[in-house]
Amino acid sequence: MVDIKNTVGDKGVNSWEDVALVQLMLRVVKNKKGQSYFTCDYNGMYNELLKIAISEFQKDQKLVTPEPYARVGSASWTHLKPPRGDKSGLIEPRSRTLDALSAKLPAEYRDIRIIKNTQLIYLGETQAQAMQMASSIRNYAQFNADFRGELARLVEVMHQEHGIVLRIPPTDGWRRDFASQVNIVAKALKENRPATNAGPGESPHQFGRGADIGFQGLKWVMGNGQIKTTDFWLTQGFPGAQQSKFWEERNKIALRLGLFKTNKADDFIHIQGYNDATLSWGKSLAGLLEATSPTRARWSVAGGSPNQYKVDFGLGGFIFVGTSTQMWQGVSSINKAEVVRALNAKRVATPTFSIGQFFGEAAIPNLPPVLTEANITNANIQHLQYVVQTEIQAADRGWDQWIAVAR
Amino acid sequence: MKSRLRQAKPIIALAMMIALSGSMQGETLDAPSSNQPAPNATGKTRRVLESFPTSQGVFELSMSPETKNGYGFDITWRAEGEKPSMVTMPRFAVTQDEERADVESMGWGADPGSKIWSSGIEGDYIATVARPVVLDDDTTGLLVTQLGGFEDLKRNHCLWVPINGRLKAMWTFDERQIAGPTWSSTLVLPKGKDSLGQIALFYCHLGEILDDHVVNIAVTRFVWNQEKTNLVSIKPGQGSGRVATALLVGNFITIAEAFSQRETLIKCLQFGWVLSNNSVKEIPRGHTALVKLFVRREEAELDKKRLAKCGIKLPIKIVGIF
Repeated sequence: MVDIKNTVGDKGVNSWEDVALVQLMLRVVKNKKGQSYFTCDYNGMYNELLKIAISEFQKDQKLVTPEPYARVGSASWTHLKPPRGDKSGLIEPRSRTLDALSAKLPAEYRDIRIIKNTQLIYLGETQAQAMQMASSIRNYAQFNADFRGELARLVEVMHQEHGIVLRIPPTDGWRRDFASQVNIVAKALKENRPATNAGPGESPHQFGRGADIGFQGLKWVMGNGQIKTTDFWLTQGFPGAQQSKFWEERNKIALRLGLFKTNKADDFIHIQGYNDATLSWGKSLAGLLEATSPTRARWSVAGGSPNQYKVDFGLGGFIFVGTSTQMWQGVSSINKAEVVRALNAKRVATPTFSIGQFFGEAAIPNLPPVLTEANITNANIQHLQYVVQTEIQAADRGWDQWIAVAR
Repeated sequence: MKSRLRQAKPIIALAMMIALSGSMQGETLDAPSSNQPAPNATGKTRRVLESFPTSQGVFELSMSPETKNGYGFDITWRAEGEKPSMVTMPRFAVTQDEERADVESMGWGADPGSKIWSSGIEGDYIATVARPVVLDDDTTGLLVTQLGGFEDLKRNHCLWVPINGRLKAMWTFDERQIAGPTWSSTLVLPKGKDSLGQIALFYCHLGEILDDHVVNIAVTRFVWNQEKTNLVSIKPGQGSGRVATALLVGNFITIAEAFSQRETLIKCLQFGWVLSNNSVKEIPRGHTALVKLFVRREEAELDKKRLAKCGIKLPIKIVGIF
C-alpha cells in the first residue's frame, strides 16, 4: 500500500506530499471508461477536483458508507453492525480506499514515494539492489576500512528510509590512483583547457576516504505521470528545484553516519570520511610523502597554485622540486644552486658524507672542498628527479597512511 | 599558463569567499576620479589593479578594502561629468596580496597581453582577467572573467556595459551552475552587419576522466533597443548572417576519431582548436570537426596556409559562421 501519513480530501490534513501521491494515483488509475479520475498534473495542492475524484473512485469501488447508515451515525448501529465504509471524498492512511487505490495502480507505479519537504514523486527500488551496492562497497579494498563501512551503511540506510539505491559512477567515483589524477591534469594541459589544480596526491579521491555517490537509475514521476530515469548527478531533466533537496536527504543520513560532504560548493555527488573545511591538500600530501618515504626524507609545501613542494633528503636544507605532477612524471623542477647549497651544508656537518653515493654513483674523485654548480651534472639532477619520482610512487602505494592536515 | 604556474612564488594561504548567489553587487560611488588608492573608513585602501581607458571614459579593475566577504574585485566606470559607477564581481579573495601574470592561451580566452590577477592557494585560489569589448563607436564594455577553485576549476564571465552612467551586466556565464569538471572560454568578435560587438562562448562539460568531449560554441550578439537606451542580446540568425570566420579541419564520424586526429596534429594546430559538432552548419549532422574561430577572414586564410605547410592531409575549409 502506498504510504500516506495523514488524511487527504474533504476536511483532511492535506499535506503537500500526501496530496501529491493521491493526485498521481487517481491520475494513473482509470475508471471503467478508461478515463483518469484526476486529470490534472500532480501539484500537491488540495482542491474540490481532488475531492470529486476521490468520491468517484470510492463510489465505483463501493468503498463509502451507504448514505442512510452514514446519516444516522455509527453509534446507533452498534447492534446492527452497519457495513464498514470510508467517508466520501476523504482518504485516510491504511484505509480501504487507500488499499483499493494502491491495488489498482499499474505495476510500474506500485512503489511510488515522496520524501517530506520535497515535491517530487519517485519509485522505490528493491532491497536486493541496495544490498548489492552495499556489498560492492564493503568488498572494495581500495577504500579505507572505516570509510567503506560508513559508505555501505549510507547505501543501506538511504534505502531503508527512502527506498533509494545510491550508486557510484564506475569510471571515476571510486578510488583513483595517482596515475589517474596525472592523466586528468596532463590531458587538460595538453588541450590547454585547465580543469583542475589538484595534482596526483591532491585529490580527495586518492586516499580511499572519498567517493562520488549519486542517484543513477532513480526513476521519478513527472506531473503527468510519465516516468523518467535520472543520472548520477540528478541532471538531464531532473527538476532543478528538487536537486538540492535530494542531495540534502542523502547528506542528512551521511552526517549521522560520520561522513562529510565536501566543502567544494558544486560537488554535490562527493562524500568523504573527513572534514575538508580547513584541510590543506598540500600539507596532507607532504605528510604522506614523509610517512611513506623510502629515504626518510622530509617534505614540505612550497606554496603556489597548483601546489609546489620541497624535500630535504637529510642534507642541509630543503630543495624545491615543483608540482606533484612534475614529481610523478620524473621531471621535478630541481635547481642546481639549491642542491649545491644543501650538499655543502651536509659536508660541513658530516665530513665523511659521500657525494657519489648520494647520486647513486661510485665515489667522485677530486671534488673541491666547496662545491659549485659546475660540480653537479645533468645526470645528477636526473638521478634526483628519479628519487623524487620513487618517493611519490611510494606515497601512492601507501595511500592508506594519508592523514588530513589542517592549513 | 602551465609555465607561469610553475614559476609562481609561494603565497599565503587565504580563504576565498564565494558569493553563493552568483549575483553581482552594484553601487554608485561618490569618490573622486583617481587611479590612486582610496582609503576607506578602516584605513585600508582600494587597490587599482588595471585601468582601461575608452573614448567615453575609463574602466578600473580594483581590489576593494576588506568586506565581510573578503576582498572584492570591483569594476568602476568613470566618465567626465558623471558619478562613478561601481560593481563587484561574485568571487572574492581574502587578501590583496595578488600576483600578476600574462594571459598566454585559450585556457583563458583573453587577448594576448591581458593580465591575470591571482591570489590564494587550493580552494582559496581566485584569478581575474578583464578586457575591453568595443560594442559600437560610442559604447565599450568590459568583459571580466574569474577563475577559482582547486579540484574543479570554475570560470565565470560577465560583460559590464555603462548604460546611462551605470554599469549593467549585459551578459553572464557561470560554470559553477554545473557540477563536475567544466571549461569555458570567450572570444570577442567585432561588430556584425546589423549588430554591435559580439561575444563567442566556448563551453564544455569534461565529464568522466578520460571521456572525449565536444565543445559547444554560442555567439551572443547585442543590439540597441528602439529608444537606444538599453542593449539587448539577440539570438544567432537574427540580424546579419555571418559574424565570424571558422576554419574547419576534417570531418569525423566519431568524436574519438576526431580526438585522436587532434592528438596527432596538436603541434601543427597549436592553440585555439576545439572539437565541435553543433556550431557550424557545414559540419554534417552527427559528425565532428576541428574548429577554430577567427575575428577576420584574412587571419583564417593565413592559418590555412600555415596548416598546409605542416602537410595536413585532412580537408581544410574556411566558412562563415552564424
